[in-house]
Amino acid sequence: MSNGGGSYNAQNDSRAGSTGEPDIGTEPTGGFFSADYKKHDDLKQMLDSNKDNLKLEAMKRIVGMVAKGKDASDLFAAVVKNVVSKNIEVKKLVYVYLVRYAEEQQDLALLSIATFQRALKDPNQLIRASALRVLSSIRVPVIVPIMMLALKDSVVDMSPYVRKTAAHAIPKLYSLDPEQKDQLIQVIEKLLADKTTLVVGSAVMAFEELCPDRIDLIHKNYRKLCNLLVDVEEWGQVVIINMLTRYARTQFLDPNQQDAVADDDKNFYGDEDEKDSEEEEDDDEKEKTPPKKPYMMDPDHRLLLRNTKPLLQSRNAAVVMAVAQLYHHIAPKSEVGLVAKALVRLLRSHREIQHVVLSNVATLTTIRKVRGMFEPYLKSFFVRPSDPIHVRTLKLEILTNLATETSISTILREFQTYVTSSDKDFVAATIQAIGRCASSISEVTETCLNGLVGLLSNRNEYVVAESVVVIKKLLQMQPDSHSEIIQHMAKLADSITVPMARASILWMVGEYSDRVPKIAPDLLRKMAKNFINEEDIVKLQILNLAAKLCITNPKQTKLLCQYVLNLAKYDQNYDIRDRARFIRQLVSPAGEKGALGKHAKKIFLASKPAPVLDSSFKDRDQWQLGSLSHMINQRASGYSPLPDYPETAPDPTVRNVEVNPWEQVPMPWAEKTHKKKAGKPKKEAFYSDEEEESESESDSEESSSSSSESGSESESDDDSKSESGSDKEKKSDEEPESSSSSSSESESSSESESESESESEPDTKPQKKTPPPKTKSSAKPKKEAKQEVSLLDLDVIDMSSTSAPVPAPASALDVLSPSLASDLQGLSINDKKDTAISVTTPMFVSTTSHELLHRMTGEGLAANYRFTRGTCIYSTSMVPVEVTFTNHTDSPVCNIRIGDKKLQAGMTLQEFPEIPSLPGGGSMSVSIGIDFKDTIQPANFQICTQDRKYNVSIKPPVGELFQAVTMSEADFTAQQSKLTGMNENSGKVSIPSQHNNSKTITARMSELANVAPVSSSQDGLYRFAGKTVSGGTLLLVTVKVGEDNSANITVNCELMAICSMLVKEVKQKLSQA
Amino acid sequence: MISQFVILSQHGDILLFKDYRGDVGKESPELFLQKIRDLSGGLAPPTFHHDGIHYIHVKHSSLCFMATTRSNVSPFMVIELINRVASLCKDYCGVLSEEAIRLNFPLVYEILDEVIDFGYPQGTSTDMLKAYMENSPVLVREGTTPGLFGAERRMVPSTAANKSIMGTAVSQGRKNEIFVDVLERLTVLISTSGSVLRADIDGIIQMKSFLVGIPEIKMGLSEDLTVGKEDKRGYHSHAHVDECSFHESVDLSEFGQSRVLTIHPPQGEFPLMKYQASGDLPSLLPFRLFPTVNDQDSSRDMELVLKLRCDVPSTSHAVNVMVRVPVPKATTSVSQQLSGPGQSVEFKAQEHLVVWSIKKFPGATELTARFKLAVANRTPSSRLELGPVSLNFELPMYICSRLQIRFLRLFDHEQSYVPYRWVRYVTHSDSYVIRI
Repeated sequence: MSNGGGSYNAQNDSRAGSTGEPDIGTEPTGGFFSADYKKHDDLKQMLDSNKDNLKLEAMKRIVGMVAKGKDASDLFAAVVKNVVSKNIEVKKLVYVYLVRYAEEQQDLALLSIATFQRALKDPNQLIRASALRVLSSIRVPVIVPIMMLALKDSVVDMSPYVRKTAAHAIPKLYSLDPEQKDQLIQVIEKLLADKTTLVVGSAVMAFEELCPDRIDLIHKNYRKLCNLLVDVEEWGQVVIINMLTRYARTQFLDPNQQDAVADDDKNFYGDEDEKDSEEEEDDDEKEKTPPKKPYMMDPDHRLLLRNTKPLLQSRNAAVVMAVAQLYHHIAPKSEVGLVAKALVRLLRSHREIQHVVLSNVATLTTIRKVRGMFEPYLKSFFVRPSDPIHVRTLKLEILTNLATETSISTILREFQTYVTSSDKDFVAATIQAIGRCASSISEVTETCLNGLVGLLSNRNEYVVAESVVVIKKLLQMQPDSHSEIIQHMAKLADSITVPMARASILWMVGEYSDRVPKIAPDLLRKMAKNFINEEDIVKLQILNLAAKLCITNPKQTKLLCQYVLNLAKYDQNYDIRDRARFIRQLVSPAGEKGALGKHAKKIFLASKPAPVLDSSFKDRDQWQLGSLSHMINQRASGYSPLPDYPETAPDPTVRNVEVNPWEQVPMPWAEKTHKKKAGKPKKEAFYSDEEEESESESDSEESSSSSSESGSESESDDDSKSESGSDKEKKSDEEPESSSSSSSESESSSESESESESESEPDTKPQKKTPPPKTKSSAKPKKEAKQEVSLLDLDVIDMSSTSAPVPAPASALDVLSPSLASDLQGLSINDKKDTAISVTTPMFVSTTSHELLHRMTGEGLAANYRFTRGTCIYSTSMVPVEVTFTNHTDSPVCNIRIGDKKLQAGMTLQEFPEIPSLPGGGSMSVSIGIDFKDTIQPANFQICTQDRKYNVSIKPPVGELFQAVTMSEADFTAQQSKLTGMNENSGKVSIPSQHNNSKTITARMSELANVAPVSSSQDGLYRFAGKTVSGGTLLLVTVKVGEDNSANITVNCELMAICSMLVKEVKQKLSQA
Repeated sequence: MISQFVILSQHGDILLFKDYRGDVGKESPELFLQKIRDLSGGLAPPTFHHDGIHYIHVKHSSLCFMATTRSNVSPFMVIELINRVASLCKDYCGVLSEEAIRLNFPLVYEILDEVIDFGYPQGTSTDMLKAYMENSPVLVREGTTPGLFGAERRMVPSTAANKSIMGTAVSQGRKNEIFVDVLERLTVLISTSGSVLRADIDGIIQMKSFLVGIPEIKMGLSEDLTVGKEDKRGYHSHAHVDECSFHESVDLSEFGQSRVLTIHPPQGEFPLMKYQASGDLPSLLPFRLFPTVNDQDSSRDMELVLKLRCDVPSTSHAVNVMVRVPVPKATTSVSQQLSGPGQSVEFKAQEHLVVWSIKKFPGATELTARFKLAVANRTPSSRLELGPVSLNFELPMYICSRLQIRFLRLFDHEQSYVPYRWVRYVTHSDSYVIRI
């Protein structure tokens, strides 16, 4: 981290340089768009010039063209050579251009690759990240291996920003070459283990894109993800929450099992309506085995729910919705209620968001069990005049779903006013909604019907038509009890003029003529009288009515029917003539009864099925809430339905993180920054450089004689010769150039110093530059950064000296392919080399925490701390300590911070940023860093709140002063031989026989101290290595188990006090029963 | 994972087109526009799909931001992302308008490049992004665009705040300025009988900071401000909100006792505080309407008298008041009688609407308008087609929740500069409906 800060400054410097140039950005470029720019010659000229402001101007125009979607591909050659520009502004625009056109001009694009590779090793994290981003965005299949290498390097970069970019690069690489999937999944696995909030969100994005089904990768990270969630940036939160929803569905039991059973019982007695709405769900649940034991929520399940809850307050609607869907899908029904408020709050934001929220709420309200939670917010769903039609219909839908016996009167009153709206579609939708309310709530059916009948007198024909249709539907469902309404409607036929409504009334009277036996013939009589003046649709219905009556009541109506049919025979409209002819044949055939006539009754008076008035959102709850598929109510590509809960819970122990053997992520950056910090004595620089050449990265030798050191060194040198040989060869002859061109590089002093040292090493021979980019991307970034500069500059010189750009691509291709081979070689060799001493992640991270501040003393504020054994984010010489504050009171505690520090000389303590407010009952973790200077002296300091100060102290257990390192057995013995005499301390202990096995001993040792086991060739001989966090002093522990369960413990360390203490503790630990 | 991001002008020109994943064809904006036109006049839902491609769009002050995708993303995420991009563009270009986008192609393109990577959103905070941005903005000259401070609703003629946060000291003679807007939107529904069915305030304190560095700001709100829904509010009218939420840069430690907010404002525009109040408002509603409908069967005309009273203190006034009265469909003509100058009436026969507009409406006064509606073949139901009346207005320097900013102090230890502080209060009608 600290190094990241340093390089950031460097970036500022270089930017300051760029702003020093004439600022052309404020000049309007608008005039250009009208100008004739068919020929891009002027642009090319400007790009070729050596003035940055001209180049910038040209690039701005070009990007303007790109942005407008105009073709600017013929400028590619001219643009691409500016990729080396020192001006960051120009460079960024070139990047933008490259990403757009690289796919079309692959050959030329390859010319720029070298620049990116160089930039990947830039000390500035922003440059590294942007290089990686652009490199991965260039869709040229040839460079996949290069991208892969860059990716692998970046994943272990010290800057979280670069690692985040690497995570983003994974899907790009995958889409370019799906065959890399397996390798990429490994990379994802590494990134998922990352503990930085910046990275995990992007890592999960990549996970979701590549391998959403590899749920096993999540187990170990599950708790970490839950705990980090609040601090992850908002977009990451969305992705993580969605992923965890799926995870929870596969790993935890259904929290609502028992409810389901209870509901079944209730249904038995419940009324009809309820049963209908619930039947489907319950059927699903019934199929499952009935719960055998009372349901206990998995603590991890609870953890997820608890940690997502505060996110309902997020100002990002996507996060709120993600949490809402999480609660809907995996929380016990009793807890889902709290999302309602958050969702209603979202209604107040942008109109577009409103639409999406409403459609989700509409789905939620179709589910009877959760419907209740929206009832208090009924008024929020009232339609406003400013709402667009799609929002209005959604609101209507919700209001209809929410209607209950108690709220129906409010809702109906509201509906009444909607009916007067001038928007036809909306009115129609409202009337339909009234109809649905009427059909679902039997108490108000009557009222609604009356209201609807009242609407029949509306002038608006849509209102009338819709009302009649809805009344028709309602009557079809329960025709028995409503003959008076039919009567009433028959009477209305006199006054209503809207043809559609008249037609509907006639249809209804005909259909239910048996309910109004007296009125029906009379109506027909009236209609027949006025037949010729009616509209066509009414005429058709008169014919229908006549036919139906003729069948049921021939005595009274036969003649009327004949009359109507005769009138229709000479109608102008052929439809009506046709219908009349057809009916005549059926009802009163001229001759003998036709074959069809017998069935006339069946044909005309078949009982018509009642229409179902159902919510159109009924079927939407099959989709995962908040997803696009839900929104459009059909399967979007990439949608996978939420799995059902498992019947029995999978093993919950998979989420334990005590032992994570795969997690051997080397953290070279930690080592490097440490070196700089530690201020290594100058005279030993030579050896350390040597070491860096061989990638061993150990700095332990600074304390000791170098005789044995050199032995191990040369050994590893041999290993690496094959790949690093060529580096060395070129270094000497390219050195002057690199130093001259390194103005943009601002490496830290120690880095550049060691660099020059290594370059001044006696080298084999000054070699000419035959296969230039051969080592472009071999695995170790730092030492080649310089070299890349020079290589590239040569390339560029080549290119710009040839006026025609045509030959360049060919040569670039030629040069590139062998380098790929060597890249891959380098990779495989690199994988094997493990001889060095390097810091690794801890084998074991204790979850037990120690008390810092008791809640009695702290007046409700309690603090615990634990040693996380990671790399401290503040400084590598600090021991990271996680402090968790818990507020046991009801009122918030404000301004929690660290006050006065009383530290031993030399010790430093990095404070956490002040906690502005800790709500009542809430808890919060912060991390602090303490440099104990390799002593076990306690760090005393004060914790201050708004009005109180508490004195507390942290005393480190001796084992926490270390950092685990890995080394080879040979290294171990070599180092051990240097630490004899005063630096060696030993003791004897008898190990209980049941614990005398390698597993227990290793586990106990790593529990006791942050050390890593060293592979041992001997049985009964266990070795562990670590180094102190602050000074970097090597610690070697050997446990030799003898015949009779007795063990010899030897600890080698320069710090004698620590030596003896550790021996004591190891004895104690191992002798535990 | 969005595939493309397009910014379209009001007329459907493509202003900016960025492809992230290359899995959707380049003709997508045309298809999108075609779809939009097919769907009822610009009221298309924000998401729709066509031929396997999902189009998600949001309109922001006459610009249309559209994203396409092929995969199952959360529509919230895309909409939220679009909104963020829009506000970023505004922060960096000063204003959000077609011209600003046109002038700042490289800049906006760079923003899009930084914010979205391969269709995945990255960081979207203005501050964070500033570290990665290299292009400098081209400012839209004043006067070329109407005052567009804020969203389309806030039409306060002030271009003072339309600056890019990227401006450098050299090019602009940049001042240390901070703008604070207290904006409230009223949603009111009044029934036929004159009782208030619904009165909601949607408030926001918006801050736009051009301060150098991140100084500490203390903002004091009304001391009598109460938060929450407790019933014992008493009868005296003090500032009250039901719930409020704050921006992450706000330190609330003093809020509980003295209603003082401590703020470390990031640069650019951000919502400092959002609050809602509903039910009984601490102050009177700004407008009351007393309608009389004279609807006798004998005459062919319908007479409508609207008496509108502005209940804000006489020191304030409302501007741009528009009273919209839906009239029966069969209305053929309208004649009116107004009580004073500065008013006008327009009859929109197409929409069956009478619009009565008042330029300036002083507080504690009353205006009357008398309309005669000529309605062809009148029926009793014609009366039902009248109304509801909706009002649009703007009330500068008046806030219905009575929330006040008592003071705004800056604390900066290093620089002793005098910052320019601007505070503004505006109330807008979101939906002010009176049923008659």
